[in-house]
Amino acid sequence: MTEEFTAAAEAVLRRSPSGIEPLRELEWAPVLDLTDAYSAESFVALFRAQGRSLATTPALGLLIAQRLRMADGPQDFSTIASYRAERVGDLVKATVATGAFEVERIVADISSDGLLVGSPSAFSTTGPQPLDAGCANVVADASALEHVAVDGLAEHRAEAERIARLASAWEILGACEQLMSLAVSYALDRRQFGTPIGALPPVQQLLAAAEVEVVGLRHACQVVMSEEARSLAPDPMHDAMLVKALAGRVSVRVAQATLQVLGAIGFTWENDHHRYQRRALTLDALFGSYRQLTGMLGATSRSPLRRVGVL
Amino acid sequence: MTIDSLSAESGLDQGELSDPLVFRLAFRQWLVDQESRLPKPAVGDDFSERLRSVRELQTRLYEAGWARCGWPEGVGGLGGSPIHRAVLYDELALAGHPTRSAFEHIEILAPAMMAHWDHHRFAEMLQRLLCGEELWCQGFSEPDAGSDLATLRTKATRDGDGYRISGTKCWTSWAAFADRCVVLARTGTVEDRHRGLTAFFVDLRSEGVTVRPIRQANGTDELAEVTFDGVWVAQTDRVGEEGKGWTFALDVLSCERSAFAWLRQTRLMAAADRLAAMATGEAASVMGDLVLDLFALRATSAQAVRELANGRFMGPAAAPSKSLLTAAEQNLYDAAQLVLGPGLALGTGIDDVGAWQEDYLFSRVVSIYGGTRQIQYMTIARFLLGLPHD
Repeated sequence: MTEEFTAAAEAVLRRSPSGIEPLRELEWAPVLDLTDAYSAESFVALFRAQGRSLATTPALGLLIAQRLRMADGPQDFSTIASYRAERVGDLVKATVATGAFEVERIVADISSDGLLVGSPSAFSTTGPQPLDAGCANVVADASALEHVAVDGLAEHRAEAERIARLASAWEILGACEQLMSLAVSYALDRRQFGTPIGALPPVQQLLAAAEVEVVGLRHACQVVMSEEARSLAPDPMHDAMLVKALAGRVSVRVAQATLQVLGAIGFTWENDHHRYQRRALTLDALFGSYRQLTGMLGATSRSPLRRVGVL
Repeated sequence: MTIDSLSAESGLDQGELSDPLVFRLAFRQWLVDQESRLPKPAVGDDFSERLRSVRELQTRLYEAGWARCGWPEGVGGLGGSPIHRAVLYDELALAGHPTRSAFEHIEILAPAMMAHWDHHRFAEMLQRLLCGEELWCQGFSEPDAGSDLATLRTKATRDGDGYRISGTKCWTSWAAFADRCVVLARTGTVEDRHRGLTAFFVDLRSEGVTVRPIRQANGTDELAEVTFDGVWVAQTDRVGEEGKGWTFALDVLSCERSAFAWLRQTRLMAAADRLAAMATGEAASVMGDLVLDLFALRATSAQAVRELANGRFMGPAAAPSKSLLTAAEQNLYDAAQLVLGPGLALGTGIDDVGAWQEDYLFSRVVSIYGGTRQIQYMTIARFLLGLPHD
């Protein structure tokens, strides 16, 4: 089921790779719910396909806004929330989805200040921008934003972060799958020593080791989503940390192995390798990186790994 | 007795135990209730003593019906699927019981034997295995046939209504303690390679069998060399058709690389818990990485168990499970080296250092047995990624 959903979502996102329109076409609404198998499948398909296609929908920003209780419901495309935000003097600096300027309100969630909300016209892009990452760095005058009080914000933030970690893990998986696909195609076509390099044992060993990483990540993500949909997760916050950390680790290993196979051409703008690598790098940096999260996982070492729903 | 009647004994509604979660909780409760009556895990250097305690545990599980869960009624089981067996191992390890030796060969050998062999004969033999009366071993590798298994030379020739087997098997785990061995032998010519192989179920107490234990680097006597000198085997103990041994062997290897990985991770989880309790400071991030390794292994090997429950051997798709097992087990004991410090090598500072050192050394060989890491990667490259053969 998941594969078909993902392929369908990928087809839509390749045709219509940015903005809100593809989300409408994908009937995005059920994704926000995540309480049954169908919505879990839709969630997976969207983010995994986004990683595979490098699409730049504001899906994640919408999802975070909804979890922060700043959007009215699944059909509300009016508000998106930042991926990260900080207060620097009178300025609010934030990273937001590239589709943020299409909506009516942008929510900057700042740990010290709470939720600051303004229209897209209050924000402007600033400084260096992440490439192929689906997000942009923006800045706004704090005075142009309105503070919105939300009851139980701490709880909502935790939930927003959890859902963002799950979504990012799936998107990183999609990017890794595409990196593998790039490298395998190249290994079949590129000839050296009179043979496709994919027939050479060192190349096969490199790619197989990377595939093991991808398979492990895919099953880890699937187990977590399946338990989520069946309400069997012993500790959903821990699960999200786990798959996000694993995704970050896997993406570093897969990007290195696939670059090694692609050789010099993989390190050029003529090849898409760096675009998928950048997407993974950006997603790893957001919502807790592999390094941060593994430190946290190790510190809470008696972890609920022995989850029963895995079978 | 069926799973349904077992459930009646457990005070649960009929049929409830077919749900793996209900089954798990019922078994967990049984383990608690029976704690004082179950054998304590044997520790120390005496390998036969360790095996004895595992077999005693098997007997208790069999008598109570649990060991027959996960096997079809047609072969003497109580119904259910490999998922039920996987749950049993999980709960046994969680409760501190061993999930090694006999349990390993149940998972490695029996599913493929059930798929390829006459059910009547298999059923009779399976009961002996499940109740702890017998231990089996796997006679595949030879002194000159390891990674290239299809070159094996042990020969089986027709003799009346059976066969005579001659040759030498090597690196045969548990053979020194086993009652029977599943032997892959050549019924065709060496040039036939994999097409000329047939599997046999050989009683190791037969005339002409010599077993020479091989002491392992970690100090245990798990391995052995087994020589067959004209050993007679009845045709009824031929597993599958003549010349179809390679298909059988691939199904065994599939289980050795996937469902076995599930069994093994139950033990690694228990070891990781003990290690985590001792880990402090810089070990924390290493333990975090280990958590990722273990979870990827657990999730991937669980998928293999589900495939087997659907009647499918994974073939080449089993290779990632084995590869993840290798990484997790070696990283776990690398972490142990960090957490235990000099104690791991010098035997100081902790009570059960001998066990840690033995397991550390064993973890080094995970990338060799059941198909080396390089063979797993070659399998993945060719069959999962579609890269060309040489």
